Amino acid sequence: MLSNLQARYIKPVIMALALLALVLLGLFSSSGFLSLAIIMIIYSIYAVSYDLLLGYANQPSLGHSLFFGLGAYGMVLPVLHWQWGFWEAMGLALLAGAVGGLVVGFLAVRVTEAYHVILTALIASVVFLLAKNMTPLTGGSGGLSFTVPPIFIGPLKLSVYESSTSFFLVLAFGLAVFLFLRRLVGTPLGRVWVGIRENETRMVSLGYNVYYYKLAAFVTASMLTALAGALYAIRLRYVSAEFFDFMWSVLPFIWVIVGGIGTLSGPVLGVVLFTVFQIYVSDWWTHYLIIFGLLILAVLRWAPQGVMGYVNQWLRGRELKAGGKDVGPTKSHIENC
Amino acid sequence: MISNITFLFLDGIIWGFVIALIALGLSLIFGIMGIINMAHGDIFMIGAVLGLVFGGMMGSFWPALIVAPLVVGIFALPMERWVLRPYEGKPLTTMVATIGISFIIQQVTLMVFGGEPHMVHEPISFTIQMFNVSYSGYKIFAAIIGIFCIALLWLGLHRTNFGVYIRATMEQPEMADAIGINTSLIRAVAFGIGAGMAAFGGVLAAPIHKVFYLMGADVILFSFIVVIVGGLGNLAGTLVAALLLSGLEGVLCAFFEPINARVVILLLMALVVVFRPRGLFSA
Repeated sequence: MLSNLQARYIKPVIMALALLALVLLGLFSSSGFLSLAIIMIIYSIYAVSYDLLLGYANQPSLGHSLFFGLGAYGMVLPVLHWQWGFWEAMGLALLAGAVGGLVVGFLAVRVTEAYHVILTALIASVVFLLAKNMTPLTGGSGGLSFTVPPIFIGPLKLSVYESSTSFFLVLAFGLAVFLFLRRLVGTPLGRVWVGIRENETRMVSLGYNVYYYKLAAFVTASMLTALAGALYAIRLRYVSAEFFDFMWSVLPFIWVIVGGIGTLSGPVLGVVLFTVFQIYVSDWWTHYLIIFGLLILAVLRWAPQGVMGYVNQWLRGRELKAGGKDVGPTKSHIENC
Repeated sequence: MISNITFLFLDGIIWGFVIALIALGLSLIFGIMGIINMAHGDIFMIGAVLGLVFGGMMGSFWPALIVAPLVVGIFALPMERWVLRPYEGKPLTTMVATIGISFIIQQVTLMVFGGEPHMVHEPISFTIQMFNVSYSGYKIFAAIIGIFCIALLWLGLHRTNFGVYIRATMEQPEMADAIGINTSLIRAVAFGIGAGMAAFGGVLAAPIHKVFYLMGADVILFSFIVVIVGGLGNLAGTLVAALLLSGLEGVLCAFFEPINARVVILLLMALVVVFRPRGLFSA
């Protein structure tokens, strides 16, 4: 029914349309709606970077709240205490994320699956406790408020306090990250990651230094997570120790699993679906975490490749029917996680 | 000063026996089924809560000490068979799935019992003079019960047929299956035992710490550190690690604030991960 050409181009077309819709949104909608959209884009940056780590390099981490918080504090503290500008503070946030990623990755990447999960979760938990305790530095759970400095881009001076500026700024970041990662997974580096995911032993026997590649993925993901954290702090004009909360490590996993692991576009969908769900259900029932828990169990059991996973399978089926090349059996590698 | 440190070390070790119960359950569950049980701390909490409830119903602590873990253990069996079985062998999946279960347990407890911490009275109150300090006799008593329970576990594992089946399933599940051991039953029972032990620890700990729906969070954090240092699935290693780390944390509390003592323990764990990733006591 769908010709080969059509099946191949359907996704990019949809994405271009979505982008157009977002731009129109930014120009014409209410600030309440924009607010939600901004949050979702920030979450998408986080989700997509987590997909890089989990879906491509096959590193199951549950400690990313650490980098989220590091990015946020890396952004806020210099602005608050030393009056740094926007880009300098952002640079520091990214650096903090990278360094954090190096340190944690150094420990975590070398161990097997089970230990990796536990280790990352542990380190993040302890940092969370520390942050809650070191109130003079971090503001504890109460947090620190700050004023976001103006953003200088060439001759322009922008302020995040205008809601449409804020939206387009975040959209620009989101687009940049998404395109960057799309590009990255197409490079030889990206192919190595996929190779590691599919058959690590084989990659080792082929002579690849798997440890360094996995560490590279870890650090890239942690840097981008830090970016998301910094943007989140900017959005809220606030940061607190709660940014290190374990929930921030679980959420990206949910976004990626619900949306579609290893697809990069899936996590964005996961963010949208799940955030909407969260808003509605938590409004309705204080104990919405129970539904959250049931949902986790259900998705893991019956749909581990997520929405995009199904979509991709369907598209591939169409492509085969229309006479396209057979790209081999699809493998939901989450089954091997 | 020395007596202070010795005192803290002993206090740590005494608490370590209770932690060992929980950590052993965690290690056992991982060793047999590959489940990283994030809900283990909540099972501990449920044990404490049920201890409170049954204690109230039966008028005394002692029957609750037996009944609560039994109830938890019995409920855990079908839980493993029907809910957790599909995820087994996949560490990340089990971790997130049990996080989901953890949310459910915590929220249900919150709904039913509310968020107020409850006090449970020590069933036997006496103090012992240790190094010039009046030390709670109940804690020592709890440790002794813990030792007894651990000894029972060891006996069960090494001196009974069923224990042989459990150890076989742990080491070579496929072979065990091939020679006709009912590994499905073994796994469900092992999960029940692990959960029961955590619940038992919870009941024991209830008079020491208040009963509160989030009380599992700190315990599970420490238990995971213990299990990594001792080696996932390595029961003897886990026991030694529980005692050592607990005693060490106690001593460190003489010099640092509790949170910083915890950070030092974490750093030690990091060292173990770098130099002996299978655990300090692995074969």
